[in-house]
Amino acid sequence: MVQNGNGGREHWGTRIGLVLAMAGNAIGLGNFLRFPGQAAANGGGAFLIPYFICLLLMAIPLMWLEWAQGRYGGVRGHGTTPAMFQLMWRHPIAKYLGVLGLFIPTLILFYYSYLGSWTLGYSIKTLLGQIPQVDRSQLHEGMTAEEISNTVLAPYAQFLGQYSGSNDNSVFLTPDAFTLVIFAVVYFLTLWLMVRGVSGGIELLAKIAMPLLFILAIVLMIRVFTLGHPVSEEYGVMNGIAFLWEPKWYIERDGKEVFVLRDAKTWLAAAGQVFFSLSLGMGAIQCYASYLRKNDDVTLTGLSTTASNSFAEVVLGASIALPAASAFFGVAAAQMIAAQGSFYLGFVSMPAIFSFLPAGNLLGFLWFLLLFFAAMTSVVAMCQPIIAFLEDEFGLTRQRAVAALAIFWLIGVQFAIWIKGGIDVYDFWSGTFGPPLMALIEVVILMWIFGSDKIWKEMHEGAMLRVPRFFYYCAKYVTPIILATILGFWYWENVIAPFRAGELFTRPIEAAGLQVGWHIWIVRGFVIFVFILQIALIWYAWNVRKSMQRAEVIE
Amino acid sequence: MSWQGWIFMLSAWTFFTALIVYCYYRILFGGNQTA
Repeated sequence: MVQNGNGGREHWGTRIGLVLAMAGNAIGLGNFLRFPGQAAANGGGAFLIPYFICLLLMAIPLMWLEWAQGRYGGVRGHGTTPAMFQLMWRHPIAKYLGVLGLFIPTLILFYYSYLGSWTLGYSIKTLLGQIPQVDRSQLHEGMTAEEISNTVLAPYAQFLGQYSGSNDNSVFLTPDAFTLVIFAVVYFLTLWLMVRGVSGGIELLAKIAMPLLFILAIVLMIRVFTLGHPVSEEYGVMNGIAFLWEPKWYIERDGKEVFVLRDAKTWLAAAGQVFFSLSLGMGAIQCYASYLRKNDDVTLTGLSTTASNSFAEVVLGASIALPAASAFFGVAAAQMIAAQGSFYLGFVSMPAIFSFLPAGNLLGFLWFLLLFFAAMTSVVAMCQPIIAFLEDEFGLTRQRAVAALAIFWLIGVQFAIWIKGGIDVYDFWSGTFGPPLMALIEVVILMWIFGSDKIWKEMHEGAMLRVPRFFYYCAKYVTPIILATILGFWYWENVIAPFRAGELFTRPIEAAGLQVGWHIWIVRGFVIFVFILQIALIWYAWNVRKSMQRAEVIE
Repeated sequence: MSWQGWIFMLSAWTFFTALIVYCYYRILFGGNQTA
């Protein structure tokens, strides 16, 4: 059911399909794993205050702007940010700034698709009962996080190490054959969906996966809420909920009590989570919005993306992994466990908890299936900008664009599969540094160069909802100031401070518990190669093919 | 959980649940181009 407009670009088939696909784009592992991990590492209730401020003052206005920018580019035949930036700012550098909208989703695809395949592998292994079982009698009241990690959780950590091939001290990873086969399944399933196209593939997946995702999450949330006090009368599931929701205005950093709104690290974590979770500052939202028609609404449907993602995060994601760990291990231990990383919480702590429960294998299967649906609907969103760029600017047919993506993706994912720290290098550039920078460039181009009144008028073409004037002033003045401040903090934390300490090239990797060696430099070299290649492709599309210079409305 | 915690949680839950119901209701039953 592919529908082509006059310009030959596809369009979404139905509005609900578009809304679910956009929700799938935003909702991912960030909602169910990264959010509880970040919240636990940043003081629970103290984290939620800057989180909600970032959501209101940055994410909501940015989501509308990205939707409007995407539709503006799409009706002129462009689905990616290099051309969109150039359309809105006729300066030679604009198109090269837009490279971030290709570079970020490309790098995320390289590692996120591999991590997403783990969720499918785990759901199969759990359903078949091929996952460790621990005896409930090993868990006592009042155990410390370290004792729990060394007893109850140890078999699961060992299992994850074997699955990903990271159990020995080598710089190379040696994953199981099963791990690689499952990744191949995800790889070919994704490519099949991409060949079917926006309406026939992405929309089809969203219509099946998203309703199931919400149902699975609600079932698991109800199961967690009915845990009560499974181990001790001293602590239960409500202690985990209270840890997250009791407002805390002071947070402990390096042994000192700091007022939470003055703590740069909490702000950085909150803003980073908001970006990562909503898929903002990546070019992915613009790409999906570019398949809208000229008079399709962007305000109500844009708000629905934010609403879906926030509901999946603060209602569903917040109520599963962390409260379950708190019920069985106590809040203090759960906090330590969650702070060991989102994957430790999802792939080590959760399977252990399910093994204590009746029908544990079935519940574990549902948990990993939920994560798989969340990941898959985001993986296809990371593929689409690359395909759109090749179709729109290089005139490739969809099949050829998907073939090019397949080769590029297969090369890029090798660094995540085989090199220890490869995932961390990819995530550092595309998951934490890239999106806030991209968002700042977007908001300056849209609100200050293209013109705030012009973009506001553009946004309200065909609108089903009038955006409150508050967000106009917010997007023009408040959002860029917050973004610039966050980037300043980030630059201080990751460039200035490490440079002064002589640790510029080592600190972020060592913070992840890894060593910097030649293997890390190989991944960094590849990241630089990807960046230069994409810059060169933009130069070619502009100067030689001149396809990027099309600026007239094509329908 | 303290009363502040209950108020914080229930107001956030109510807000986001109402927002998602409002958006999806209007999109599914609101009338007015893609389909």
